[in-house]
Amino acid sequence: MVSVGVNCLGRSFANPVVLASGPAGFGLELKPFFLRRPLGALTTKTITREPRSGNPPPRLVDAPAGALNSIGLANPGLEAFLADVLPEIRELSTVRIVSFAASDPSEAEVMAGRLGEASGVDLLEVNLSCPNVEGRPPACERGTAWEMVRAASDATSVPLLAKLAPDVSDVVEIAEGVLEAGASGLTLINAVRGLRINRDTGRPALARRWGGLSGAAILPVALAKVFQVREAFPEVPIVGTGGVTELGSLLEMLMAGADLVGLGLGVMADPEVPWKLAQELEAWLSRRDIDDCSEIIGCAHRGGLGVGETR
Amino acid sequence: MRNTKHVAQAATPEQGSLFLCWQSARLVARHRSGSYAVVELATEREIPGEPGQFLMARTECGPPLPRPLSLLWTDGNRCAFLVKDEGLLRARLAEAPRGTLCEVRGPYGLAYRKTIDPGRRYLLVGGGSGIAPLDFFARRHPELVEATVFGLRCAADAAVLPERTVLVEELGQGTAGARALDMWRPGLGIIACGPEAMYRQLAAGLPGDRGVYVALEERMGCGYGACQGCVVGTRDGPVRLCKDGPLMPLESVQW
Ligand SMILES: Cc1cc2nc3c(=O)[nH]c(=O)nc-3n(C[C@H](O)[C@H](O)[C@H](O)COP(=O)(O)OP(=O)(O)OC[C@H]3O[C@@H](n4cnc5c(N)ncnc54)[C@H](O)[C@@H]3O)c2cc1C
Ligand SMILES: Cc1cc2nc3c(=O)[nH]c(=O)nc-3n(C[C@H](O)[C@H](O)[C@H](O)COP(=O)(O)O)c2cc1C
Repeated sequence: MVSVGVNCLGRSFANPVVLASGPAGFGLELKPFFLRRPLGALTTKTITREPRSGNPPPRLVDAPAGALNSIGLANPGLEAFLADVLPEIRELSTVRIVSFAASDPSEAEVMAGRLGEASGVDLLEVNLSCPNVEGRPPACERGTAWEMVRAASDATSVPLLAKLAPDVSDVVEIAEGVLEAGASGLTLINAVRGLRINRDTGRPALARRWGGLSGAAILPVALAKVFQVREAFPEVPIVGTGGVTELGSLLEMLMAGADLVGLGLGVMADPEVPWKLAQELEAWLSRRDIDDCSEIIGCAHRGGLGVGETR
Repeated sequence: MRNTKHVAQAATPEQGSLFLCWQSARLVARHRSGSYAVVELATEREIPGEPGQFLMARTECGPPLPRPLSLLWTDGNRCAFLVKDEGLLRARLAEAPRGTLCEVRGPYGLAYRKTIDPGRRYLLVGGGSGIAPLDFFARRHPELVEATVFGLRCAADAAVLPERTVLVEELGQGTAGARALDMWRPGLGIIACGPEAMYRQLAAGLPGDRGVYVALEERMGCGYGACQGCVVGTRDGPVRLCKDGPLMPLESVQW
C-alpha cells in the first residue's frame, strides 16, 4: 500500500495537494469533490480586517502559459468571515488553512488572535506578498516581514505559515527573518508581478495596470525558490506553490523540497484537478515502487530518486 | 458584501459535480456568415442549460483562461453557440473544421428567468453575439416575449441566423437599441444583451422604469463563483457575474 499522506506542521494531510489561497475562494463551490475524495488542505481566500471589494475590472488577462490577476484581496472581512463563512468551511473534511493579510503588525496581532481562537481553523497563513494591493508587500523587506510575523505568531498558538513573494533579490534572507519571528512554515510563492498591454488601446490590459502572474509560466521560478529555501532550511515545512497544473509539475515541486503543494490557477481552469493529481500521484508512486510520498520530498537535495535515505 | 450571502448557496452534493468537470465536445456543424458563426457541438453528457446560462470553453491548445460562451440552444447531447470570428478561442471555433475537438464545462450563471420579474412580457433587445441567449429565451419562453429586436452590422452577419428577422445597421435599418425605444410602452419589460453603448442608449431613453435588465460582460476566470475575477460593482454591492449574473436589473448597474 502506497502512502501519500504527509505529516508536518503538527497536522496530518491525506495527501500533499493543497488548494492555494485565492482562486478556489473558500472552497465551498468545490464541496462535491471534498465529499468524494480526500484532499490535503484548503487555503481560504485571504481575509482582511475590513471587507474589501477588490480592484476595478478587468482583473484578469491571459499570459503565455498562464494568466495575470489583479483581484486585490476582495473578501468579506474578518467578522463576516467568522460569522458566515467559517461555519461552512468547518464542514469540509480537510485541513483548513486560513489566509489573512494585515496592513500593520497590530492588525496582524488582532487577526491572528481572533482567527486562531476560532474553531475549525487548523493552520494560519499570513499573506505577506499580495502583488495587487497598495504599497510594497511586507515580504519585500526583512524587517517589515519580521514585525508582521512576530505580531501574528505571538497572538496565537496555531501554527503559522508565512507566504512569501518571488519578487525579491534574496528569498532566503526573508525566509530567515520570518522563521526567526516565529513562522512554523513557509508558502512559496505568491504570483509574480507582471503587466500586459492591450494592443488595441495601447494601454495596460488590467485596470490596475500591474497584476500577478501565475500558472505554468512561473513553475521554474517557484521551483527555484523552493529549492533554495529547502537547501537553507532543511527542516522547515514548505508549501510549494506556483505553476503546478499537472502530475509532472507536482512531482518536480515535491522533489525540489515542498512538503505540500499548492494549486492556484490550475484549480481555476479545472476545478477537479487537485483531486485528479492526488490520485495520479498515488498511482505514480505505486508504479515506481515507492511506498511513501516522503521518499520523493526533497530528493533533489539528496542525489535524486532512490539515492540516500528517506527523511 | 453580497459575496458572503451567496456563500451559503454553495454547490451541494445533491446538485452533483458534473457541471464542474470538463467534458470533450466535438464540433459537428458550423454555419458561418459574415463575421459570425453558429457552432454546434456534440457533448459526452447532456448539458441541462437554460437561456442566459453559459459554458466555459477551451481547446487543447488553450487559451489558458477558459472562455464563457452563452448557449444559443441545448438539446440532449447537442448544444450551440453564436460566436464572433475574432479573438483566440472564438476565431478558432468559427474556423475549425467539422470533427474538431474542444472542451466545455457548465452550465453556469443564473438563467434569465430566475432574474427577471415573471409578471411581465419582454422586448428582447440583442446586439452582436448577445443575440444568442435572447434567441434561446424566445424559443424556450415564448409566453414571456412581446418581440425580439436584434441588430447586426451587415447583411452577411444577419444571415447567420436565417430564421430570425435581424435589423441590419448598414442598410439604414437603425440599431436594435433605437428600435426598442420606439417599440417600448409602459409596463413592458426589456431584457438586453449586447454592447454597453446599447445599454446606455436604453438607459437614457427609458423612464426610470423597473423591469429592464441588461446582461453584463466581464473577463471570467473559474466560471463557478470562486475566483472573484468577474466581480463588478453594483448599487447592491459587488456581484460575481458568473454566479449572480450575468443579467442585472438596469437600476442596479453602475456605469
Ligand atoms: C457570460 C458571457 C457570455 C458570453 N457569450 C458569448 C457568446 O455567446 N459569443 C461570443 O462571441 N462571445 C461571448 N462572450 C464574450 C467572450 O467570452 C469574450 O469576448 C472572450 O474573451 C472571447 O474569447 P476569445 O479567446 O475568443 O477572445 P480573446 O482572445 O479573449 O479576445 C477578446 C477581445 O479582446 C481582444 N484582445 C485579447 N487579448 C488582447 C490583447 N492582449 N491586446 C489587445 N486586445 C486583446 C481581442 O482582439 C478581442 O477583440 C461572453 C461573455 C460572457 C461574460
Ligand atoms: C485569481 C487569483 C487570486 C489569488 N488570490 C490570492 C489571495 O487572496 N491570497 C494569496 O495569498 N494568494 C492569492 N493568489 C496567489 C495564489 O495563491 C498562488 O500563490 C499563485 O497564483 C501561484 O500559484 P499558481 O501558479 O498555481 O496559480 C491568487 C491567485 C489567483 C490566480
